[in-house]
Amino acid sequence: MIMTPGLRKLALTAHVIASVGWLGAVAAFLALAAAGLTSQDEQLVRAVYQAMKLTGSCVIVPLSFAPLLTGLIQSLGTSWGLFQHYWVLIKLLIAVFATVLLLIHMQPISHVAGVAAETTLSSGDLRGLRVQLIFDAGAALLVLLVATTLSVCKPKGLTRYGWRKQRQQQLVSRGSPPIPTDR
Amino acid sequence: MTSQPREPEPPDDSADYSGTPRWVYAFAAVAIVLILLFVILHLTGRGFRGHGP
Repeated sequence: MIMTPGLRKLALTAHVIASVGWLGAVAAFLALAAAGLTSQDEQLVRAVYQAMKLTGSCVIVPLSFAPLLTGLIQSLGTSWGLFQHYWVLIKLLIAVFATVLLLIHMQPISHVAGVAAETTLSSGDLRGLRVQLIFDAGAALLVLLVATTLSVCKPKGLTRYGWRKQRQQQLVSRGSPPIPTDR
Repeated sequence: MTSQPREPEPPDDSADYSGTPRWVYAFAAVAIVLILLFVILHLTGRGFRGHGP
């Protein structure tokens, strides 16, 4: 299933927008998490954790699914394939891993936001969770930067399946019989 | 991310699979270390005092 050039450009544009949007939203989340931990202003801390909850559930979670979906469309609709090149496969693993971790970590965000809304958080309250939010956002940012670098550099490397598939296509285009797939 | 601006290059004309590239092994090694570190930090609670709601 190969997409037409127009459709391919549309899918690529959607994928880039979703991926860069996800990266930017996580960077903003990291800044908010740092402000929430270090600020002495009670009103600011309260507002920061509400903003983090809102950003997490309304922006970051939807944006985490969008690159996964558009990436699947891109890989399956072009000659790159999903399992043929190591960089595509690694990006898929990164997207799945990051999305699962994000969904797991939405609970601590909601908890801190809930406590911040009801009480005044001092610098020592829920310190472990608040540090964790910074750590997780930093780790997510690092992982997304790696995924972006892979997309730009596209390091060479075919999987065994990819090599077999491309070899078959080469032989078919030359008129030779295809090699068996169960090698 | 900024994917697929060009078509993949055709593989070498050699009959044998050239194997997994070295960068994949290096990448996997770093990823495993980071994941283990992440899991250990979360399980032991080190660095996250008061972890959990």
